[in-house]
Amino acid sequence: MPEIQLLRASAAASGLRGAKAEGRGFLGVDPVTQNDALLARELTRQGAQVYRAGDTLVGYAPNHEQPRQAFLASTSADPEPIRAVLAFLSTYQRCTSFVAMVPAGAEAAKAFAGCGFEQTGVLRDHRYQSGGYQDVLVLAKGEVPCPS
Amino acid sequence: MTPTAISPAPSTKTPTGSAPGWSGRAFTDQDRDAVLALFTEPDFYFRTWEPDTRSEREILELVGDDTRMLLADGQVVGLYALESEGSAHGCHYVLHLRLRASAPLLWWTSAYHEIVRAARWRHEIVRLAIRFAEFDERGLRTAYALGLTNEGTLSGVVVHDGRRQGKVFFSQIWKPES
Amino acid sequence: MMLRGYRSGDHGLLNGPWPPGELLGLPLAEWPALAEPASVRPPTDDSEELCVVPGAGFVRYAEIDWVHRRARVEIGLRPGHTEALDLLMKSVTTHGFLGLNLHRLHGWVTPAANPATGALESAGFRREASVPGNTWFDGRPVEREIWAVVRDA
Repeated sequence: MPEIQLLRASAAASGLRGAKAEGRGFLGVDPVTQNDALLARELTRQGAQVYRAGDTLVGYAPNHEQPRQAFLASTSADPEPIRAVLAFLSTYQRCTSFVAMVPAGAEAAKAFAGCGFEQTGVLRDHRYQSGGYQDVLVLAKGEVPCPS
Repeated sequence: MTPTAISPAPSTKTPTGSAPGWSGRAFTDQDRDAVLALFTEPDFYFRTWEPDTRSEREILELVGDDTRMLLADGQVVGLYALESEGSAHGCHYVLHLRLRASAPLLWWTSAYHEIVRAARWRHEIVRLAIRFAEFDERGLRTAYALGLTNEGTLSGVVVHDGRRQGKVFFSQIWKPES
Repeated sequence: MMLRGYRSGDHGLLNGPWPPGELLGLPLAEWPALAEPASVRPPTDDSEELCVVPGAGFVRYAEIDWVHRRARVEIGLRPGHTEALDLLMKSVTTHGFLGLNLHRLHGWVTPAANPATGALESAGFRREASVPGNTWFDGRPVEREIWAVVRDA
């Protein structure tokens, strides 16, 4: 399992900018249309944490309505960094349910599929990018926890 | 004139022995007088150990944003607040609950059950803590009647009646399956 | 058009017994008396728009993204006004598409809360995705669906 290194919001913003096309749609931000300050502000507003694993950035944002669920994002097709974050979240944050919203055609979709995420829907025309509207895939994984 | 039959007026007092119909609402300005009246009772220990000598500004600060008015059959009888403790994913909460002096023990236990039921309906609770001072007879009686786990007493942390007294910690835990 | 901009006097319309953030919030009968109602706050910046149907309910366009031209919609209706529902749904999409000039309106629907999916479908909303365990309702985590309507042309 690769080492994941927690980034501050400002470092996450510049990291996403460096990820170019694969950073677009990461937890809903877009490093092409939003400057670093906006990216950092949006990530902070969501309570998101972003990690670096080699060249890949992975991140999660907690679901405030249901703290055992987290939204995930990644900038590459490599499933290993995602597995590292999943392990961290299950061990340290009691997370059992995971969701990813990935722009259609993004590399990250392969990574999530490789970690056992299943597609549970498509959000039509959810993002505007490169001159047209794009769909966003909704991928989900995990046991819904038993009620206590 | 034909005498009309007069039926007795419906009783407005809840018969002792049955729990009232509970309702709650957020604090608004129109509740200010009712809340200030509650704090004049010497043992209305809602986030304070000296309730009757608190000023209006202090009382409103204690009430804050998260306190709810507790109403029994439409009458204000107390306050409660459910505060999150620790990280969001831990689902640990502490309950502040206080009813006015005229409320019987049954109302305390019934209010606790209703608050907990409503809270667990809306979000996950793993651990609920409630704390009463050693000298808080009403609170302690409620905790024992509810069968809450007595976790111990933190001694000497509360000044009351010229001497240092302790705070008793109680809790209820719902163990998650996973 | 039935919608009117929010005034502080409409404050009483902003709470109700339905799951928080619900697309179509209709009062639920099975709501514990002391459970926190869903609550919407008055708008603070241009990423939100809050309109009311006086005395009956509110429509909130939240998380308005002017780049992606979409908004997350929340509607809340007070009890006893359900006859206005279809007209209200039409106003929601008309204002969203023609007033705010958005391309897409979406929202969360909680199947466990018996949502009025017929009214949503008549207004053009379609079920697009399901997210298991997305919110807590009635003592357990429940699935939530994303419904959306996309503007033609």
